[in-house]
Amino acid sequence: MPLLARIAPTRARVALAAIGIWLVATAGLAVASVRVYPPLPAERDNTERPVQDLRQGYVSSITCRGCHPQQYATWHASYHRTMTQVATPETVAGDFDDVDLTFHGLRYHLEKRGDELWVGMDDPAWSGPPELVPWIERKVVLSTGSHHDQDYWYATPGPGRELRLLPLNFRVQEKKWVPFSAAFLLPPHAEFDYSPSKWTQTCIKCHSTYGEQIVDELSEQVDARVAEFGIACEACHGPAGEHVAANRDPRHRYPLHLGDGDDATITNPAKLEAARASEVCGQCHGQWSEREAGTDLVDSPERYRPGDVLEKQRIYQQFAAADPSRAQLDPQKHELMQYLLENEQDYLLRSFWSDGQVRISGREYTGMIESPCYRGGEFTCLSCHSLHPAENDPRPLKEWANDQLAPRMDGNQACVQCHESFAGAAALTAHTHHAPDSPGSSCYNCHMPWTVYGIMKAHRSHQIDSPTVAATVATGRPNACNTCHLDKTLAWTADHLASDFGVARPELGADESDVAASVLWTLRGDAGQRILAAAYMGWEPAIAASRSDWMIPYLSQLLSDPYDAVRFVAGRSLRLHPGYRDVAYDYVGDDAQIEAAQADVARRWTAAERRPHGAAVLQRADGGLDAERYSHLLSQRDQRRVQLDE
Amino acid sequence: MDTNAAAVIRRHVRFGWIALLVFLSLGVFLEAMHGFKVGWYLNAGEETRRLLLTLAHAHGVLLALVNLAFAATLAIAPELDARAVRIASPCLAASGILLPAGFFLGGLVTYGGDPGLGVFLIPPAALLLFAGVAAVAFAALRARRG
Repeated sequence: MPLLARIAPTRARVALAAIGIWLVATAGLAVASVRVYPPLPAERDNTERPVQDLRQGYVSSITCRGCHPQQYATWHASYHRTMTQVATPETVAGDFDDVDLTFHGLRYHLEKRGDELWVGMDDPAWSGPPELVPWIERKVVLSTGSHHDQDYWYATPGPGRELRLLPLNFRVQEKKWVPFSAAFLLPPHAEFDYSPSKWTQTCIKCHSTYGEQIVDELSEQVDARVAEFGIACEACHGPAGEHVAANRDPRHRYPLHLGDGDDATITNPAKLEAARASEVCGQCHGQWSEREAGTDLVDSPERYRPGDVLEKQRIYQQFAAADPSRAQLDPQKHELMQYLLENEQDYLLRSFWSDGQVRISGREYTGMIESPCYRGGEFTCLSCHSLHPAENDPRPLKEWANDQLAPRMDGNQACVQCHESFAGAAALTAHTHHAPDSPGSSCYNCHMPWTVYGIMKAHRSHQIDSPTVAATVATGRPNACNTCHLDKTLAWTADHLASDFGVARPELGADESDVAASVLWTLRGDAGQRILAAAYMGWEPAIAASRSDWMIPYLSQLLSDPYDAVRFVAGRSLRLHPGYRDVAYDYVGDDAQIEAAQADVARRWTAAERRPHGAAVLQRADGGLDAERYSHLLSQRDQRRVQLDE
Repeated sequence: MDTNAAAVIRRHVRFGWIALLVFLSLGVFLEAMHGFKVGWYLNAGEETRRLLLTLAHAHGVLLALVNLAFAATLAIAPELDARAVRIASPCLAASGILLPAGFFLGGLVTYGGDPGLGVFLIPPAALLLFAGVAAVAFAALRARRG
């Protein structure tokens, strides 16, 4: 008799066998569960658009979620996540419920077909006679953005995964479709680049995680794949495959939990040295050129990954690098900047003011590295920003997501964490010459003024510096004082900066001496200055400091500005003024609609009681507008074509 | 029924009902945290804590019922092998404490997606539970055959 039969009767053997099977099955499932990555949606078979493909050690945010739920939840609430999304009825902000639109003579029909989104339109790529433009129908497959506005990409017929940009933009807050060109600061009738390779060459770099462009040399067919759409965990932490593998073992995890938590298998920007930490943000929030063309989109060991030295692969454009004294520091960068400054001024002015300060949004790193704070060696993006707010952060995630600031970093605490001597009210007032709790005592307002433009609004400069009128005269960039004191002249500002801070007073012309700076920017300025002036006229502290009723004629004048974006910002600012909130105005409306809105504004302004403001804002003694000088300044308007490449 | 068996039954009846009271109370406490939207328990990043405390509640209640079932089994089937009962009784009682305690302590302090160190009580507790249940199961089989 076999041993088992001798020591265990039949029923017991059955029970033992059942238990054995249960144990083996449980152990097998346990092993299987730790060896399989959660699959991404079936992507490889998708031929309409770039696909998500986990390669090169990338594992996707879904894998991170299991062990880092708090970090996942905060990232999930961010606009980084939704920067690129597969277009579905759930992800698109725009209205696709059988909407018919006509812009610039082209017709569009937007509709849902089941879970798919489709556009029928007069072919925007048609270059033949307008009366013969064909009607095409295309599936909308990807979206870009979700915070302020959203753009859409449609699939192109034929092989490859090339996308074309839908020439429409959906304004999220206004819930309004506008022509794509009306969402950017572009000259009227500017030719925008709708070429099919826009996404796979440009957008893929920063609106997705580890994008790769693959060009078939024989067919020249372009393919593209990403680790993940949107800016996901591994965009900042690097590929996490090794980290996931190492941390399957609790013997690796628990010592980290109980120790300092430093895990060499993953990059944690918060634990990198200052420069490396900021470079993680700078990989996208900067203005750069590749050291070797094409390296941004090709998988290679040289390609930047979080924690690497960013400028090994790229050159960040800094005007100062053209200086001969910098030639030895980085000869390639020196040569590039010399070339650009000598030959590509138009290109540079699409991103920079003429002295090299950044003037478009999304390039904060380039501004920051020119700041004295950064050169101190400890200052990083994370000094003020937090990508994962703590559990006990009282702010709703939606509020944090607007600018991803760390707690209390929306005020002077951001600066006094280092500049402690200005923490007290007395010291602050002595420095600012403003009341301690006033906007004039805000470090941000003076040292990070609103001189950057993007996504239809003004942004704070991330090049921390101090205001000078000389820079305004030389570059046209508004100085911090006159972004708030809109009714004051540059001469007034120069006098105060000289007396209060010892800043040298530059030579000023007659207009700069007796006409308010904002009036000059509005009437005489180029489109870049006009749009910032329009934004300031809707900024609460500026309205309070400058009193507002005199601004109305200037905002009204900008309602018919030739630049779409200027009209949009002027209309938004106008509606922030009491008595003008309900003005019917559509910035992409036809001329008759815009003239009617201006006439309405003029009626309201004429009927309203007006306070005296003086000649600096071209006000006559009787309260009316000095029409002659107004027209004279308007006739001097800088008409150069301004295009900002945000 | 001999005196020893009666003592074991009384012990498991006491243990089972007290444990049931404790872990049902924990359930009420967890429901209250839902009701008052306590961030410590409900925030998106607290999935692990939520899971562990829920498991503590569920296992506590279940093992309380198992201990009561064990007491009832002894009362219904006094012929169960005394040696098996001597093994099962402490195993079921200990697992009735250690298993929910492991989940509870593991949920009090968490490390992101990882439970706190209390979770290391769970494997020995599970083995004790397994041993206790197996002892009763085999004793029941033998008793029936006998």
